[in-house]
Amino acid sequence: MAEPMRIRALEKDGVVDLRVQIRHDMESGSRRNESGEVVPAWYITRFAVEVDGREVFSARLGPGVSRNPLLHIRFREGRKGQALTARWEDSRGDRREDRGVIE
Amino acid sequence: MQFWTLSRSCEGLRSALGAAGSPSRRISRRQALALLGGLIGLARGLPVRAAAATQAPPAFAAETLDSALQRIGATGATPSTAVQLQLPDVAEDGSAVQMSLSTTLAARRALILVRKNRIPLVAEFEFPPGTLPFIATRIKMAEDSEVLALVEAEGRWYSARREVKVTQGGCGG
Repeated sequence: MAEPMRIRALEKDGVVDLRVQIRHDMESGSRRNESGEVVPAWYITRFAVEVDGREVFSARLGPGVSRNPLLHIRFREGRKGQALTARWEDSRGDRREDRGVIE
Repeated sequence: MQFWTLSRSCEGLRSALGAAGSPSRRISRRQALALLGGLIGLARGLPVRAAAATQAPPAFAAETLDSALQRIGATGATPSTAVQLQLPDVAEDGSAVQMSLSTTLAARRALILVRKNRIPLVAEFEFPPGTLPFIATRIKMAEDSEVLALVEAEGRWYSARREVKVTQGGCGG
């Protein structure tokens, strides 16, 4: 079971500074383990953030994004106390959704 | 020492794949079949959108920068100082290279590519209205390489490039 994302959203002067850290190995499919076997590709393909049902950011990721991806974005029109939802989907079809609050 | 072993195993794998026929060829065939299926579906007037949505966009399957640019439709991108791409000149650890991209252009979409990675396209970002055209994240870099940022604003593509030296490769994508 995938671990929760770490979400930190800070509003200042009308701009929300959002950092999300996803817990995911982001295996590229070109790495070998200690016994020399290829570790199959397994990585996040989609990521999105919603505030009040409105999408404020989305991304398609490839295996070139680092392990435990950290995404830092900025958007307007967020208020302190407002909830936001971050979600991802990976190349195996696993999904995860977590909520954060704008501070 | 352990890092060195990992790095060597990446190299070994890359040549092994080259000799044995790369898995991406198989993916290409699968995608070709899916496309064929889609065309048949279209011909029959069946909905194909659901099937298409589960596939990775073709630019993520491209194995060279030029091929990725063609698939994105950005071969004619204009270099612009309005696109700011920040990266270290030298990255100690290629498995996590900090980068940020921002622009003063009215950009709704941005992409990051690493020329020498096995899969050059690293990520594609969408900025809906109200979201600043800014992204910071960490990327993998297999070796010294040019990093390219593409930004789409008002239907045109703009770019910025940076050369990054990598001390320790990160089996990049």
